[in-house]
Amino acid sequence: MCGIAGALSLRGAEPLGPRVLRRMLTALQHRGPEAAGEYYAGPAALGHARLSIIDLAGGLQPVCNEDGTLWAVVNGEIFNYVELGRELRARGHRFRTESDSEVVLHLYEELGPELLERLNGQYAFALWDEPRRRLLLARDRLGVRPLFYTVVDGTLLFASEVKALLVNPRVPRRVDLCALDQIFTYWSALPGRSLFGGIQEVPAGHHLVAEPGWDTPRLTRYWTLRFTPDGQAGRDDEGYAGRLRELLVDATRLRLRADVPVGAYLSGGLDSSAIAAIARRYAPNRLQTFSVAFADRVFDERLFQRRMAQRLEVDHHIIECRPQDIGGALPDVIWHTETPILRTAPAPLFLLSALVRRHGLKVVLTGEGSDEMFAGYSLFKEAVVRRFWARQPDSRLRPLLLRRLYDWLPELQATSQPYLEAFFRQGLTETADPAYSHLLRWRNTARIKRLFSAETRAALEGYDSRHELDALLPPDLPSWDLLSRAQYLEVATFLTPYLLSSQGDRVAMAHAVEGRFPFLDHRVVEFAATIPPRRRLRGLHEKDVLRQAVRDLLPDDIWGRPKRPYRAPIAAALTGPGAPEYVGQLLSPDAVRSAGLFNPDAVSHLLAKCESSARVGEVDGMALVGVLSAQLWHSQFIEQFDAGLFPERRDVVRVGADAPVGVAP
Amino acid sequence: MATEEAIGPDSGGEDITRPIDDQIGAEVGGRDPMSSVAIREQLRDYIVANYLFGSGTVGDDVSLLDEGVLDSMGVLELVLFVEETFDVRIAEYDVVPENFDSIGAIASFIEVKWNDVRQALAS
Repeated sequence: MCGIAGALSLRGAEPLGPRVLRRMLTALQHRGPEAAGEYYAGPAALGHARLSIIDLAGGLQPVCNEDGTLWAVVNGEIFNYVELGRELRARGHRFRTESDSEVVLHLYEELGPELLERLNGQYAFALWDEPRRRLLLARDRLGVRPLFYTVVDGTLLFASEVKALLVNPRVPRRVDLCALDQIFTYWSALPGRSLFGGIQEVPAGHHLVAEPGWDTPRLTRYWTLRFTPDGQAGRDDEGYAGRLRELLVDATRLRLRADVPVGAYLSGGLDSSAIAAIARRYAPNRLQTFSVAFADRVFDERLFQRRMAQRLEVDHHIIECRPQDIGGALPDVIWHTETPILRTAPAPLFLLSALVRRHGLKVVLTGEGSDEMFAGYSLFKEAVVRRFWARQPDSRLRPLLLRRLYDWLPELQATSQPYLEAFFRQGLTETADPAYSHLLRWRNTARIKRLFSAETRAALEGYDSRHELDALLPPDLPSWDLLSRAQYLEVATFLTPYLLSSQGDRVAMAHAVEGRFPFLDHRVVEFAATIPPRRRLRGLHEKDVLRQAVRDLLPDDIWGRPKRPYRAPIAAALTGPGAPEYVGQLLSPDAVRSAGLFNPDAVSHLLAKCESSARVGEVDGMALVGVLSAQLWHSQFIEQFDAGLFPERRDVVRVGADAPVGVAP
Repeated sequence: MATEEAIGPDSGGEDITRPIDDQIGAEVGGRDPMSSVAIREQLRDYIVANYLFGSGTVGDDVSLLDEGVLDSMGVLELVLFVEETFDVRIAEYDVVPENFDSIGAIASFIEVKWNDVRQALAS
């Protein structure tokens, strides 16, 4: 729920006032349409745009503690707030509201920044500690909620989304080309960076502290995903499934806590079906489910979705996406993702959250996180098979397993066996590289960098993003088993920076819908990391222990479905006679030259090839979406961003030590 | 079997009194036999335009796999291009890196195929 924004004046700069803060809150209107609040004290300014989910009447923010010495603005939910609140009240703390956010303040009174270890939730918050003159910014362990910051003219500015920072005329708008290089390798800028030069994000599992008088804020990591070394994990096979089931049920139960109805997304796959089934048992009211369907049968999964909905006896709603819907939505999607994307998958999810809104709901449960924690992706199997093959590189039998892994990818199925082997043989014996599992994917993706302009290439001469990546990894990661390493990388470089953002928070909050992720409950995640690798991926059967844990909840055909990645059409949406006009405009030589990121001739070649091919290949499709979305991004944020479009928000309530706290007028 | 009749389609007004090699060349791709250099140039132009988006170049002996020029879709497109442009029939078992992984290899492959046709028709 919500958006936050604010500032801390460092080294005597003029503190941020309402003239700017209220405009930042306008930029966050879509995240918090219902109410807004502001607080000022000395060098600090805190702002909040509200989407009310818990304590509808009393939960206005910013919130403060008993004596007004601590103030906070929170985006997100603290799901264990009931238990924490009980504990804190028992120790004498006095609460002003029934909201979950307030526990942050009282826990901070006792623990300082270490309060984060007690929270079970998805959150990004800012807390101003008046006696210590300290600002604390924090983000949840897996980065479900966003939090960006920049230091400009002696002021630290922070906000849930970059657009709120850009309404400050002093914040320069420029491109970080290293981040562009990263996006066109890893699908996203690496944690901490953004494509906006000078604007950073608090990484997941970190907090940031800043005080007036400091030149730069200090970042501290408070949580790392650690996988138990293989061999140290226990042997009790039955125990894992049972314990996982308990944790999932509790994680879901906590995430049903709301003063508004909660719905669920159904993709037709194992994960969302399991969550919806668990929720059904505990939902106080009739559960509503929501799904994306595609006019193109290749992408559509509606039969499985309906099957599950019928079994659950829920009100089921679908939004059918035609290619023109996807093409039409893409500019708005990029406005919300604030980054280029390499596939169109966020667009149907953007349309889906609009559907949820139309049905009057604000909260949905969804299944993200399971594939990373329980080894669902083909990528993991591919790593295991390649390593198996690497032990006998001349084997003709071992590489035969590779074809099975991608049965949903027609172009690979049509490839001759010698060529299939040739592709997967690249880097085959580099098994000592900690990122072995991801090297082929990154190498493949990086091919689209051929489209960079001469200026971009020159600026990136000699740059190797691998160093920055390696610095982010736990020092002992190289000693972990192959599967755990692969899963860690997938969480750190894909789930957090890309999936939870562009396919998660941004496209849901675009329509003021809050997604909740039971699989990302930190207890589930931490437990999953202790499960022996062979129970996560048993041979080539993925998510083994999870399937066991939810067996009784699902019909056979959904339970037994192999992992099928969620994909959306690209070529049909962006080329052909029905293609949106902006495609030709933004990919025209003039537009490409003007943005300066890509080579105009190369882009023209790419577009012509996609227009004329009967089938657009994987990499060409990625290139098309990548370049087009980068052009959209550049146009919307660098060239044409107009701070004047964000007037001061009118419904902002000022709170203070004397002003009423928590109660909306 | 009278060779003139076996070949003799009206391939764009070809003179059936032309030497046999030229007429086989006309059968194969409907043009005069290409030189090795010409084959390689045509392949190079296609690869640069289609996989490198028109910029840069590829040497005759450069491994297309190692350079990341081709992926699975790329191989299929290349096979189709070679079949249609050079009028050769490519079987599944032909689609191996030995035959397609460099411009030089592809050119040799094409010439071998043409040679096979030439020999078959001459026998």
